Amino acid sequence: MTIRLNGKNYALTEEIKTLHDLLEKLEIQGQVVIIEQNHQIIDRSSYPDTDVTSGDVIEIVHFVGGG
Amino acid sequence: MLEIGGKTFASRLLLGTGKYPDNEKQQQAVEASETNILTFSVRRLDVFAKEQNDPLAALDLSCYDLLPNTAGAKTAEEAVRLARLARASGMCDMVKVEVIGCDKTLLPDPIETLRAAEELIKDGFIVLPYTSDDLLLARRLEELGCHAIMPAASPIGSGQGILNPLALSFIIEQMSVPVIVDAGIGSPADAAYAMELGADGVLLNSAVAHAKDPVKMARAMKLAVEAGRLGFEAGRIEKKRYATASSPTTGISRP
Repeated sequence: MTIRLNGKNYALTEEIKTLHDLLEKLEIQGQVVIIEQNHQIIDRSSYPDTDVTSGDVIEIVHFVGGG
Repeated sequence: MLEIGGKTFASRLLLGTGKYPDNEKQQQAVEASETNILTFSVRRLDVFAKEQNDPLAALDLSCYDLLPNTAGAKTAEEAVRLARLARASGMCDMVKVEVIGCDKTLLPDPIETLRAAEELIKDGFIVLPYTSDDLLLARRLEELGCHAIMPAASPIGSGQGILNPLALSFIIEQMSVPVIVDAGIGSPADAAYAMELGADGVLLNSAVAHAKDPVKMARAMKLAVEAGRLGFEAGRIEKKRYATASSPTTGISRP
């Protein structure tokens, strides 16, 4: 059970079933992030209902400084 | 008041983020600039880092309108994706379309910029494209429905100031939507000059963030933008070849 997370392979553990779980596991649930799963942007309110499955390509992005 | 896509802003200075010596200096400079609009980029979060350093943590983002850019995009498709990611934050509906066509000069790719702008307008964004100082391209972007046009003064981060005031003034005179001079501003004089040419606003980042004293420079830019705007509205005098006396030429007292 691995996913592709921000360009790297990431092994899923038992407790990660949804995007919300993944954010908790990564300890970034409090931050403003945007998630793209298999090239689809996922609505922030749907994280708890969106399953993470083996082979998913997930991008987690955020705002950084820029001009 | 600056008006973009139905929103009004008291400040005509748009400020970039990042590149500051530290978060505290950034926060103080943003405050000193009295800007209403901050620009950002969208990047991968370093999810594997032990500790997350949020570069924007010191800023109270609720006080500003956020203008994410699509920097990093080289095609319209990449720019559209970045814009949609930014909007999905739920924090913004404006986007600075930035599609770079040349790594050395960071000049925008006009064709890809146009394509991206078209798609994002259809998608309901408030679109502010970063563009060269080409009048015809600016016209095309306005015809598409762009909400402001943002021509460069000189290459991004170069601090060379306004290299072609004539080209910029052609754009300023012909656009109905706001023209915001973006990129290349190096000093308060450059910012004031842009505003005196009749620009509706100025967007800058490095000129403040890389200044020896960013907080003082932020205030200087705020004053320069205001001074330039007032000067434009007041209407400067014509230039003449020879002197015209300021003091009365009659009634001169002699011993």
